[in-house]
Amino acid sequence: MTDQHNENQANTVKDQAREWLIYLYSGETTQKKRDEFVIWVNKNDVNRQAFSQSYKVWQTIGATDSSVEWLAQYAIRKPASLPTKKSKSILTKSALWLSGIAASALFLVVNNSFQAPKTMKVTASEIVFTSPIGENKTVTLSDGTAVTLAGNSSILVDINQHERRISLRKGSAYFDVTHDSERVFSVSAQHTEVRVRGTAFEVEYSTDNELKISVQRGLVDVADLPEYGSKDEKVVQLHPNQQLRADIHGAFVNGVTNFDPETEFSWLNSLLIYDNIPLKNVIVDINRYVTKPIIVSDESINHLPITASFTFDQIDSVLTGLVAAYPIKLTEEVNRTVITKINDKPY
Amino acid sequence: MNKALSNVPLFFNSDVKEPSAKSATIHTLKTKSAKTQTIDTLFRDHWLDVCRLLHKCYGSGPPEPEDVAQEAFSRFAQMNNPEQIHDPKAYIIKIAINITLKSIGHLCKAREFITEQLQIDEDQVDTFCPERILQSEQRIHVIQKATEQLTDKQRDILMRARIKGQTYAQIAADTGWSLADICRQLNTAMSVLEAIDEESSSNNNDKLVKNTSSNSLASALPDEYKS
Repeated sequence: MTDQHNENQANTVKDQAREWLIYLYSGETTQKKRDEFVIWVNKNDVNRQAFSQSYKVWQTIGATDSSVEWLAQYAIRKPASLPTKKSKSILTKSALWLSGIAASALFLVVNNSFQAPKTMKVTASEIVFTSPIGENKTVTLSDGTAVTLAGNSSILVDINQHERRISLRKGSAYFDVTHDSERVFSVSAQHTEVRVRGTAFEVEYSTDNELKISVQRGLVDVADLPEYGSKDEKVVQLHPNQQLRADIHGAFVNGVTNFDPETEFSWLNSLLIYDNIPLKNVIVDINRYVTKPIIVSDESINHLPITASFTFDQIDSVLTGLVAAYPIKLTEEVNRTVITKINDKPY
Repeated sequence: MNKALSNVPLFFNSDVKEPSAKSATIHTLKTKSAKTQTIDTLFRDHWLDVCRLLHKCYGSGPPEPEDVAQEAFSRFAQMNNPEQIHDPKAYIIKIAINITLKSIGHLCKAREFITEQLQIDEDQVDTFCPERILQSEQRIHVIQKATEQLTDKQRDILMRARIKGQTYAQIAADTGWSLADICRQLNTAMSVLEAIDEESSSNNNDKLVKNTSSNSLASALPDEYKS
């Protein structure tokens, strides 16, 4: 009876894990449901283990020959279409009498773009820079640009004679860009790209998978990169002390806002300053400088307004201070610290 | 991504690491030459096919199919033992698929969210040991066999979501199937794969296969397959 019960319970957990995985890859998730998932997956090791197993299977599908076979069949089934780019969309608006000429022109484009080159240059120009947890790291790129990485941050750098491309892989980075009128300096992350020629700005992965771009000097163009090239990109220009947020899809959130540069860039001086900032934002920053990650397991305290100023070395004492000042408690676990709400203290 | 399809006299030669003076032997030089020639041939034979396949399945970008194909061939060339891959073209296409999927917004969002919750350090995925590679090969083989047991509809929906990177709404729009049906079919397909995977694991007495910690998850697959 007990074995039967345990088996049924295990199957239920596996079913839940699978349902969560399928939900998370649906393309239509909500913050509320993601928060519910966080609570579920952190509830116990059984849940975490079940979800990990589902995720392993999901990942492995991409490594099977079945995936290639399916893709080849899909390509055959799909009606043939000529490659179109945004800049060539005018062709679709051409008058009927021009269609013959347009078709000929497109044929040439296809022929050229898919011409197998005789040689291929493998460039080793891409370099990854990563900062350790707990401290900032400053690097000077080959074009003279200075980059300061916040703790636990990483960028991929590709600088060549034609372009300067950076990809923010995680964390936050501040760029003091050397002016070069010939080569645009671009920083991309998710579906957002920042383009400049000589300026100073920060790009940061913020809460809820948002990207935050903050300009200190010069002008910066922020573009949302369209998926599959299916729509024209939208570009917003930022001036000094202006900030813009973009969601995971590149859509701009809440428009352009102003910010206090002393607060925003304080981390460059190993200082974190907050004035009525939600707890979850503070924790994102703190996690770049502590070896044991901190998670907020209770949604109701995510937006607890925090006002504080401290150095990286003072994080432990700040956490202790937060517990004393707010109705929250810290629970030390083996691999993480969990912040939860204390229900009997109104705030 | 860098477009570097320029003419250079020696294809890939600049990328092949030179052996040290002490260790240089005729054998290694021959091996190096053979590797370069193999990759050169692969490139000439399959470049066009890979580009066409990517264009047909994922559109003109971004990322552009030519850029993705170049990246895939580059990664393949940088492998230590590309000559040991049974089907290099399929392998290169798998790399290209996963490069493309990394540019699809909702997939990035899901992957980053999940890896964050499971506390997987993606920077450590490059440190493979033979046991983990063996483990991933076993799992790939099992999942490969398992996909053959799915119905055509289940496999189509699974691959559209996992390989084509479509949202369920996009699948519904393409196929006419309802969202509820898509979720149900996907659930069934995944349950079949998971059950076979679990059965395989339990049948294997190898301790390494039984190691199912989050850390092993991060290292279970080569980086080319992460998406």
